[in-house]
Amino acid sequence: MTDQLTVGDEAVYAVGEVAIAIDPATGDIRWKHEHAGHCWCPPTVTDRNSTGGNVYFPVKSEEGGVRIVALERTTGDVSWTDSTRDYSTLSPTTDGDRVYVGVDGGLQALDATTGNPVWQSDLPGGLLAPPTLHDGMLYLSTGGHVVAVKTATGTLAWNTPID
Amino acid sequence: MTDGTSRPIVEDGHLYVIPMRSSTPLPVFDVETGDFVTAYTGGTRGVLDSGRRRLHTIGDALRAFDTESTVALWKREQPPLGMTIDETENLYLAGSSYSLDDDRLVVGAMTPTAAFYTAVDVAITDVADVPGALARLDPASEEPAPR
Repeated sequence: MTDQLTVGDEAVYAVGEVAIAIDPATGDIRWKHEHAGHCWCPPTVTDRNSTGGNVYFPVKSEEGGVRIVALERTTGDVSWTDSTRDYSTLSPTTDGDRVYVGVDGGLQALDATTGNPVWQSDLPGGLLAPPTLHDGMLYLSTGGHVVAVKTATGTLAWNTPID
Repeated sequence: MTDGTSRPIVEDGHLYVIPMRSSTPLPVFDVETGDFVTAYTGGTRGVLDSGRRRLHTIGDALRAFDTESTVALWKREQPPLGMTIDETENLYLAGSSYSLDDDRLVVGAMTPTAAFYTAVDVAITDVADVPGALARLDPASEEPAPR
């Protein structure tokens, strides 16, 4: 199966049935993390200056549930995992302080360091692509709508139907 | 800003929403109000070249548009996402991704055994200039990609 890659500041991260960090200069594997299940999207990596120095990705278990995994970027140690909601298999989005992930019928903001929930926003339709972050706003494409959500509160700034 | 994924793209006050099907138009909205601005022929991936004010869409074909006039500049047929194009040793471009590398739009894909990429010169301005074969990024590399 094809692993999904993301190039970070310090390493290349590949996630599939396992997660690995690869030295960009030598190709050596720096760390490897095994998880039960599979990730189908590129992982999301915080930059070196952010507070939550993690690699984030969703893992779908054989039973079908999807959890979010946060690994410490430099060691591969588990920072936190959350399986209390049925998350989307799309890549998360992060601003370093929070992680934004799709959930059934909406969008969930989690604390990037602890994984604790911050807010949840209901969306008009399921998330079709990972959110885009820009100037304190998240832009999302859902089934039949384009939506702007404020990162601070999770409230909708605008909602435009697509014909 | 370039992207190369299915994420929406924000640029110059506009929000480009990448469609899920290449047969669906790619709509553009005002980022402040959500008002519809225009639409381009669709692609399931989008790459924005801010310097040239070009939008590249990748779906059933690779297309280039002028984002000021919204005029289609050129189009070339493109293998489906993930199809083997050429063998290289470059790991960075793998992952069925698209990115802008100087004057080239780099198309990458990865299989369990190798990584592949190709590149298209995006400086071309007319459909007559589109090369007949995709250009290789590193002609010296003949070895299969490492595991």
